[in-house]
Amino acid sequence: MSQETTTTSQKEDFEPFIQIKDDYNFWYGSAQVLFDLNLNIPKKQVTAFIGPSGCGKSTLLRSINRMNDLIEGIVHKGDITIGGQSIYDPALEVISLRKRIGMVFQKYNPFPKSIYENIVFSLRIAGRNRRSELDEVVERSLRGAALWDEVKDRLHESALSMSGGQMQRLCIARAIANSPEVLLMDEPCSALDPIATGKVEELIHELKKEYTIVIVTHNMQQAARVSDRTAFFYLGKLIEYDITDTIFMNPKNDQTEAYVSGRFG
Amino acid sequence: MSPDPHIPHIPSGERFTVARGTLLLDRLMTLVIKFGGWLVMLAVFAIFAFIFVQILPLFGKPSVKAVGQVAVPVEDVVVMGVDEWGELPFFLSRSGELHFADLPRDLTTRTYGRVGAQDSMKLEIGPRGLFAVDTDLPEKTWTAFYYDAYTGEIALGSADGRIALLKINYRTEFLEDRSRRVVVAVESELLPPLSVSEAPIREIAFYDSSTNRSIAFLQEVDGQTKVTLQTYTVRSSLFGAATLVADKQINLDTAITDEKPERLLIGGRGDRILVTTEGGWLYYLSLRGDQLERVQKLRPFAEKSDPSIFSIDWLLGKQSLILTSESGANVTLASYLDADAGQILYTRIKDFSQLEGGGATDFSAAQRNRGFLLANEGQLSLRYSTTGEIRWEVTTDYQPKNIALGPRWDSIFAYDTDERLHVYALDDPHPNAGWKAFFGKIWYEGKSAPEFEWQSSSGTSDFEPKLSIVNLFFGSIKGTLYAMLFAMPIAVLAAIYVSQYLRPEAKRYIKPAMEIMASLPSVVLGFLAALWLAPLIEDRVPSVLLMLITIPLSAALLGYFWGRLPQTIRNFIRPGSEWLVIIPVILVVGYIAWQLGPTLEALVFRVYDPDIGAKVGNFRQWWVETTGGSFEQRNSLVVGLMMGFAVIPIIFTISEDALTNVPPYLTSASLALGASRWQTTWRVILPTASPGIFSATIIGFGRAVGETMILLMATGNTPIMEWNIFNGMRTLAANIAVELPEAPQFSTLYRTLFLGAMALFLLTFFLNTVAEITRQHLREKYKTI
Repeated sequence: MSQETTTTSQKEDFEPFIQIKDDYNFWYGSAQVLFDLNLNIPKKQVTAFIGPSGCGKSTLLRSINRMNDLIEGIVHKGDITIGGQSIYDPALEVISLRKRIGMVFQKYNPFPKSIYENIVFSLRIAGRNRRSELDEVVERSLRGAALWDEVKDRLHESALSMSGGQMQRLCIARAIANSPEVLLMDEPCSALDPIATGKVEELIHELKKEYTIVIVTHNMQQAARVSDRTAFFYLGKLIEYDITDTIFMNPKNDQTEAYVSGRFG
Repeated sequence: MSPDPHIPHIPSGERFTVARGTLLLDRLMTLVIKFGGWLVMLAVFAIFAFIFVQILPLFGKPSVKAVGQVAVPVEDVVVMGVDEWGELPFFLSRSGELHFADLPRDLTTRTYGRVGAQDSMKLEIGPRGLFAVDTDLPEKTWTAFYYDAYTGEIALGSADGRIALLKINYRTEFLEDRSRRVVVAVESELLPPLSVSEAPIREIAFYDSSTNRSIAFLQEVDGQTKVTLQTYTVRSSLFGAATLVADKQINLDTAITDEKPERLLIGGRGDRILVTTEGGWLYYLSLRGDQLERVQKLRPFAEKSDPSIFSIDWLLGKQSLILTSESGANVTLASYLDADAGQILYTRIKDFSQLEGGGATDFSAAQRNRGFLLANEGQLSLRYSTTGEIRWEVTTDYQPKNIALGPRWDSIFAYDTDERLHVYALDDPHPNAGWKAFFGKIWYEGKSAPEFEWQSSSGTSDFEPKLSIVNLFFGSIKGTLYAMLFAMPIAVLAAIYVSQYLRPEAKRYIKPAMEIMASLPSVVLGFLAALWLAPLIEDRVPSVLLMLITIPLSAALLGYFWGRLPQTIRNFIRPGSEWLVIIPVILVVGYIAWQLGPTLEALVFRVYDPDIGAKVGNFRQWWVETTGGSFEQRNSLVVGLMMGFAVIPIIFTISEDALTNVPPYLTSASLALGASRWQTTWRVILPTASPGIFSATIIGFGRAVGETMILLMATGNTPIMEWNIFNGMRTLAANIAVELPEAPQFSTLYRTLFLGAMALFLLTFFLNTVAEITRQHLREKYKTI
């Protein structure tokens, strides 16, 4: 059973920001998808979740901002804390939790509104409608998403008139508009062409100066390129979690080795 | 390798060919589907075309065709009249001789004008020839004549002050060879001397109702014009004919008319006389007790250069007067109940265009509608009073002296100064129709102002039909708006709740329930509305008002306080099951509101009750006194509630589909940004689903516009034009259902009902077009990737 134990590097030389702890388990109805997870995610770094399809990495990601709550019949055991606060605290409003956590989805999903309105959405729902503030946020977010120069002249055109890569960067800009602490990215480049993917990857490098980023990816080169730490999941279990270079160059676990070298996946 | 034993070896040429049957079937089905599509479009267009063809004649001009002329040598004709079939016109000469001319059959029946098969027919005197009938009246010099074509009665006044009555009774006989013959019987009576004066009677007027007769006349006595009104009671014995018994005689004090009287007519119930004077004044005098009182004095042509009144005659029904001036100006005056004066007055309701060549020398009123024929020295003009239109006009190459309209509105007879009779066939099936009649404000006789009105039939044959489609259109819109006012918020909010909030298990029951609601026959709903709901809320309007306010308010307040509760308490109710809390609250609040209604009524809607001598709560009366509007049991509120109930399912179903079809990734995006469920619904889902919700609303609107049974049963079907929620309406759809049994085929009403159908058709067409354009626009605006 040695294969099923989690392999992590012995010393964690960082202060954890997101902690998945107390043997986190997760069920969709009667089907268990996550098993006994314990994982510390460092602040202002990029952590990649990799693993074959159905390994539970997306489920874990969506557990962090409780997006899984929308699904009927979910059950969990264990706990997740962000900055020391449990996300399952009964006194905590899910809404305020999600305001702390930006999320970028697999498929770009801009609202059928203008570019401008897409970005200021999170401010408007908070009742912040002051024009000067909104303008400032739009510029800052678009610059942060490296999109400002491309769209500054057509901010009030429909977001749907943009290219796919631009739309995904708009979704990133939208996610960071409210200055969240954490940015969750669920395979953000899977619907993009290589050039657009390159731009988003560059962007992730920039963004980690400000945000704690967790990215789920199928693409191991991508994980290797963008992340500081990598967690490898298999069948709902955390197999190995370490510094990215270690995972790719010198994996301690045979399954990890087999996966990163492309023998299964 | 050996070939796979399971695949039989077929040569490749055959393996890749398509079976002929498959191809044929494919082509056939393509054809069938295409054909079906075209057929549907064709059917819709054919319905449109059929309705269009049905209403087209309403806007047509009459066709008048000269049949011919024939010599009828009768000396000095003063009155000409014609029978029902136009086959035996009579000619009364000044000497009192009565002549009849036998004309060929079917000269002027409507088929003639259309078919023209009898073009070769010559107008000539028939086998019975020109014959005279003895009137039994003594030989006198007759100086004044009055002919009422509707009753066939002629009043004659003589040079020695005597009065005679003559009645021409036409009768149609059917002979053994099934042919028709018009025969005539003449009754006459020389009235006893009226002991006024033996001076010649200059003008005479006669009035005949079943119980009394009145005769009014003018005489020149000692250079003064005397006006006398003689009334008679009809006494019918058990065995014999009715006899006239002189009742009162009123000699008009000429002081009532400061001017010299010229002509006179009797109206009302024989108790009004209208006298025109040389200066162009019309005096309206009313018999009160034994006195004639002057009620009104007016000058119909006051603003004209020649204000004199050249002719004055009654239209059918004796409510409207047709006047012409010497220069040919032509107006209609009609009586109406003046609210300020509190009595009947006359006023000018129509202004016709000038009759070229001077005032009317003869006049003939139609006997089945508000048409009339005018003649002067070189002109015949057929006009219609309701619409104020000229139907037909012709300049004649003869001088018409006496004219008569065929009683069936199918012929025109003109007798000229050269003793020739000219006959025209008239084909004008819809004289009272036209743009103005359907869509314009018309000053109908008996009304105090021009208005839109629908009243297609009445108990009397001399009634003026009022055919304004506008009232029905208004009714349709009114009923629909009240229904939508009730249905739309409920249906759309329910759709939002069910699609966004409700747990999927509960949703499985809601949709079939809605489908059952949608499939309830509207006749059942109408029946419930009329016999259960209307009487129920009649006395409980305050309760209903209270419920309409408190129920949404309590739900909103509950939502507000629910949001204030700590998360720990809210966790007791699973998201999507909030209805478990809301429904009991709504039920309790609704019950309390229902019970509190009478209390509210007693506190707020107070009116003075003369029986008790104190103020009591009575909403009905309060409404009538406060708004001045009426309160009917079957009113728009009942319609709004019940028709609203009928359209809720359709709006709900389509809206719910539209809301559910909003891509879930938009919901996720919004929720992940920290939006609440309501913010997500309001800012993302509703705009995205708005094209669907919009079409749902328009489809619901269309359903309500076309709804018939509920409106038919739950409103009074009164074609009024008021927004008052507590009275009824008549809609286009209900009108068709109500009037269908009273509309003979191809009649004006029949075609007008088709016009209503066309209006409905166009209304729904217009709504759907607007809906589709707006929907496309919204869809473009809120399209998703």
